[in-house]
Amino acid sequence: MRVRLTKFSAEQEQDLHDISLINTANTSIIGTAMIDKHAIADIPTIHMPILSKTAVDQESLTQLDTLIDTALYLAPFGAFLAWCLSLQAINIRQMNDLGLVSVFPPLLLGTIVFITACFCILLYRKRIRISALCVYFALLIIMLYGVNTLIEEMPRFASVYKHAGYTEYIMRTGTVDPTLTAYFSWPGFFSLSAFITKIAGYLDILNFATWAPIFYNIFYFGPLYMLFTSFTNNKRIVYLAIWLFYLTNWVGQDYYSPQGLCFFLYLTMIAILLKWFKTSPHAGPNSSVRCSPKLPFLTGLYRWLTAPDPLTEPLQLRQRYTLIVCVIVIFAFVVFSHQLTPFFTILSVFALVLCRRCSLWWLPLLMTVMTVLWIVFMSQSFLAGHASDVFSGFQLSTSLSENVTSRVAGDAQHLFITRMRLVMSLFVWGCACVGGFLRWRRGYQDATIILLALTPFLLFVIQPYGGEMLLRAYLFSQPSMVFLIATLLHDVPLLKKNSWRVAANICLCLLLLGGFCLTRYGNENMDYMTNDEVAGVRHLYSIAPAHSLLLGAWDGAPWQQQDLEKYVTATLPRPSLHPQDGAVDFSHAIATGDTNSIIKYIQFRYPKQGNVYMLFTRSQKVMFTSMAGFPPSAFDHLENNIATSGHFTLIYSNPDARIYQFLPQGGTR
Amino acid sequence: MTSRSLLHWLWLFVVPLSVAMVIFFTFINPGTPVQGITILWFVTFCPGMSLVPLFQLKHFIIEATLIIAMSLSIDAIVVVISLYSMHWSPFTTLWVLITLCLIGSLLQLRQRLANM
Repeated sequence: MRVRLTKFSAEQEQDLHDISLINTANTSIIGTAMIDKHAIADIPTIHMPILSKTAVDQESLTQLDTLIDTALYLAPFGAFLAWCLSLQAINIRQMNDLGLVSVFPPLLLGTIVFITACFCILLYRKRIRISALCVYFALLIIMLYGVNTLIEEMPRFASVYKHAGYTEYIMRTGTVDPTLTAYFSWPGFFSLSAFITKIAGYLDILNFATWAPIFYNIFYFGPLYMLFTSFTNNKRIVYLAIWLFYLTNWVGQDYYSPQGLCFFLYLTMIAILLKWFKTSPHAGPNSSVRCSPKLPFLTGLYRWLTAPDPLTEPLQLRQRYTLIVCVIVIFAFVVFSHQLTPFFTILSVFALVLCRRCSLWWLPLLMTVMTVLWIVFMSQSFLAGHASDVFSGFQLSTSLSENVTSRVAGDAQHLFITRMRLVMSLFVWGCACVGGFLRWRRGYQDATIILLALTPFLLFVIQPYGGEMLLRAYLFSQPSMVFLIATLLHDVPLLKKNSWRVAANICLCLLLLGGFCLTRYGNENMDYMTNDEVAGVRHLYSIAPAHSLLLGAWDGAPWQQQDLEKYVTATLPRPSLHPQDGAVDFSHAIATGDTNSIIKYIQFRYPKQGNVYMLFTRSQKVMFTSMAGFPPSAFDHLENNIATSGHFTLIYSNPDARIYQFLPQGGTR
Repeated sequence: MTSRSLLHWLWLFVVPLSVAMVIFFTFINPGTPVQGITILWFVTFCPGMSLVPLFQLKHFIIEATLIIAMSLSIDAIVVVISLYSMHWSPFTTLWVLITLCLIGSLLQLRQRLANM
């Protein structure tokens, strides 16, 4: 059956183009209008405003369109202005364990809802206005990811202060010592950070680290656009998928960290491969596999997996070579910057090559060789101490325990946030499954998307990564998942009317936005740092002589930001000052206020070697009460017992930080 | 000359101009707040901007993505080489990057002139 494409609207033409291309695997006709009858019947009709034949009606409609377009242009600026004004009403000190949502004024939430609704309306206008969409994306990123930066006193996350310490070490010494921290076995990010901080004239990274989430999320836009345009020609799906990405990126790996930057590089590499290095559509399905009558499903699955992707972009030979060099250079940076991202990259590229989605068959081999060589020759110190963790084989039960079960603990509000994170993850994955199923029913060959969505979870089966692997797997699978969600409402036959589709998209976006506000900002009470806390830690470093033992009452303090090699730093729950201590655990002693066992341990392990200081901060207390599951008074009780034990003397105090110095023989000082 | 081609020619001078600003604010007049912004701009965009236009991909978002990714990768590779070769010197590394940027800009100029 031949169809004249000119009869359809612009969006339908895009759909038809996609379908004509996806059917090439079956019909061997590329880019023509030879389309299956059922495929055309399935295309949802877009009801655009019907143009009257009279010139007057046309003119009035055009005027109305112009008015709506102008309003949609101006709306985000108005919303942003209101959002900026609403920030003044936030009192972060009143935040509870539900996170920032507990102190957000209704106006702030209203502006984000408003901008999301306007975006959905703008997206389904007759013409896609790229400039307007870019304004929406820029403002959304600032509103969702910049709110912490604008209302908080210091960079959030205790990890950022450790990263400041690694950077400071490289700036000061010009070397890396892998025995100090595992991060120095992968020093790419931190050495780059040290270089930039030094030549920019800054003293430390804290001056600019707080802006990292905004910049990283702006960076993600480009590769996501490249990736999604390699999946479809329909720009509405592309932009909606990017919007959904920002509404579901709650895992918070976009702080000043190697993984935040390496995720951008991962996306870029995958986008390059899928944009320009797909297997040729002329290749056809793998004919070497015969249809087995006993296993027809597996044969069908294999053919579906290996059917070539029709959306390819032409490229000159010289451009091919230069882009391959780019991928290798970018991957080299990833290899020496982060321990985990190379494995996500190798798995994804390997899956693409194995299923004939990518023509560079040698690339995963080269990537594996580069990664192995780095680990063997450059990260021996890490490997020597962690070989059993790295090569322990399948650890599904451990991964589940560390990533899911053990995280569902703490006080009631923290438990609610943790459960919301699980629910939101399942919701995103569930919607993506339905979206993928609907596309499969319509004949789309989405093997590439499915492979990219599933391969990150292989690492979850192999390695728990200290309880963080599920978060990372969620992040790396997220682009494919949100793309499938974006197609979900596009392909539902019930939503034939444009207005219905806009309404459905608004509902979906608002649902995800609600989840985002709880999941992204849910742990903010323990993640944010105050000026007083940082001032307390700085005072500690200014008075503590080298080789002192710095003991934190609990995890979460903003320390280790300087002089990494000069101090022994430990936290009370598991101080492990000596390898023979093994899994020494003071959690019970802390909960019961038993300071004697803590004092004996310090006297035993640190007899007259140097000064011992104990640090109590606000963020430690919040982490203690919300995550450890102990009664809120236990932390104060512990501090009180420490102060009155006769073995500690208070040497510094401000509203958010106290420093006690240990007196080995007891008594007053 | 159309406005588009004029823009293309002007774009060619962004990298040399950035290099001039970096030299001024880092070596001649350091310590101003502009120094940090100039350096962040330079390391995030300039090495890639001197290289990626040579590929002639002709799509703004794609080129911008590659520019950022390549800039940071080139910066990091140069920095790590200096780190592991025990020649850690941020200002020498900056000069290496400036030289790479200028070479890339000259290659672009040559390509433009050849295409005229």
